[in-house]
Amino acid sequence: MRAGGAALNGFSLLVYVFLLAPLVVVVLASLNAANYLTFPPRGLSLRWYRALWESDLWTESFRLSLLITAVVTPLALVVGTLAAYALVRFEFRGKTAVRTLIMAPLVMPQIVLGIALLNSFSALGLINTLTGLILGHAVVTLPYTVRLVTISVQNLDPALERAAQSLGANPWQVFWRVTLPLLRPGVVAGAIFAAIISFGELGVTLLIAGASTTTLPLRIFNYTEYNFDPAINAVSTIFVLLAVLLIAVLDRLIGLVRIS
Amino acid sequence: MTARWRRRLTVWALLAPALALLVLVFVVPSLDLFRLSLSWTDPGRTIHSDLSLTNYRNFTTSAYFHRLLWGSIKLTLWLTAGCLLLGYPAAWYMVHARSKTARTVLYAIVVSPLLISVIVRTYGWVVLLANNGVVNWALTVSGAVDKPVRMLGTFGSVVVASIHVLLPFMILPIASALQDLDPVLERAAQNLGATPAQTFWRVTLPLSMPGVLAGTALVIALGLGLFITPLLVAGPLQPLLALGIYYVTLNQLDFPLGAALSFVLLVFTLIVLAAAARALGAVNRSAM
Repeated sequence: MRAGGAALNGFSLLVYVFLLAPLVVVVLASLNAANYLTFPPRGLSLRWYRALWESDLWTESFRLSLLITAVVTPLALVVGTLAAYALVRFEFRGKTAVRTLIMAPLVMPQIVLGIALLNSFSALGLINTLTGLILGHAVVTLPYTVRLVTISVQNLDPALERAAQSLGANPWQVFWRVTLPLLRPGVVAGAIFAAIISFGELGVTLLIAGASTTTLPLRIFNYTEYNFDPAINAVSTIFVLLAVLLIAVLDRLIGLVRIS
Repeated sequence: MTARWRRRLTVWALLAPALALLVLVFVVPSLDLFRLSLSWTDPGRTIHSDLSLTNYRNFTTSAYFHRLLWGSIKLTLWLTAGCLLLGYPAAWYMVHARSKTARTVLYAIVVSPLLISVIVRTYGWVVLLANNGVVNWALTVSGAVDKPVRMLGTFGSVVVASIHVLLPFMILPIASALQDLDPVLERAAQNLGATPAQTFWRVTLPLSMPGVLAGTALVIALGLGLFITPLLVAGPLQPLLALGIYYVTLNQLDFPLGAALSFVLLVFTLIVLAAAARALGAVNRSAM
């Protein structure tokens, strides 16, 4: 049995290698000096990062993605926090239906949501617009902000808010000085998830974006599918490093075990 | 204003922004899409909006659509088996990691893919599986093959890359079930003379079933809807329902048919989720 146990441990480690493999490969490829995909790399170089920096197309996409993320994150966060608070703190008729509706975009196959938005946004002239992308991303990120803030609201002792009230604080003061500070871990985690999902969103984006709204993930998609550009490796590496950074933040904030 | 009414007003005021967003950008578009699925396109590509079941009838009779549906079912079977086989041991290993640091690192490896755009992860598989990619390089150098094996464009490449995308959704619920499992129960089984294998099959596995079921449901539901990963590693003609929707709508510009296929996919997804919810309920009842 001990040999079996060792074999099982070895197998498990291989699964973790499998999970890391495509990410590690992309990071290594981004340092490859050659101007096409080769293994092993022909010498180390940062030329693709410079190429990225100097390309108008890539920087434009980068700016667009940052702009969308900067609008979507606070939007999904505020809307999601209010909803999470109502869902945890109040009993009301239709609560299950509301909760199901909020989580529904997670379950809806992305291609179906994308086609539905393509159809409706076409009629409204929202295809290939910033507004369309912001609305689409807001719906996709909302379930995450609601779910993460919900965890924090559940852990918030209502007695603290009542105490503030009985000490003479008005509802606004209670919210800003007691409730919100205590919800901070969930709110920050919600913001991180909303930002990272909006920044990397492609399922819906692919169907409702266009030539003048090519987000960063969409440009990677176009270049992988149609004309290869080694700078893809460098952009992808930025995504990987960003995730590593945010993982560390999330772990310190609420612990990785609890998020999952 | 009575206290009860004030409370009601507060609740709906808090929910109003979320509901407004969802109604405008989710509910109405879904209903519109359903209405569109009842229209039909003639061979001259004109859309007729009289109510008709033409598209759904086509779906039930055409061998091409049956092939798409069968492709999706086959893929989800492979994904479920693959994610279970890789995910269960990985979850067990993670939960039982000796040091806290090791556990945090393993959790980070499992959670990090969720924070990295699916396009980046899939692109990584293109780099791995391309004719001039890493795997072929390793195979050629080691002498296992003479010339590169074609991997991109095959069903196998879709399975491997999709397992990678969905594996965290299997590992995390199983890990959380194993985390909640009282180690005393496993020790008791062993004290009573059970071998490690018996302990696993009769104690650990049954008690982690809620996690296994939740993970399986997520993998099937998300697997049915995957389209970016198959599109990139295997192209739009790979027989899968989700890719068929993409192809019919964007290449053939037959919106009503794409809408109908969307609802077929949605119904299958909902059936899977409902079945999983029932099974979870049954497991939880039998555990009590």
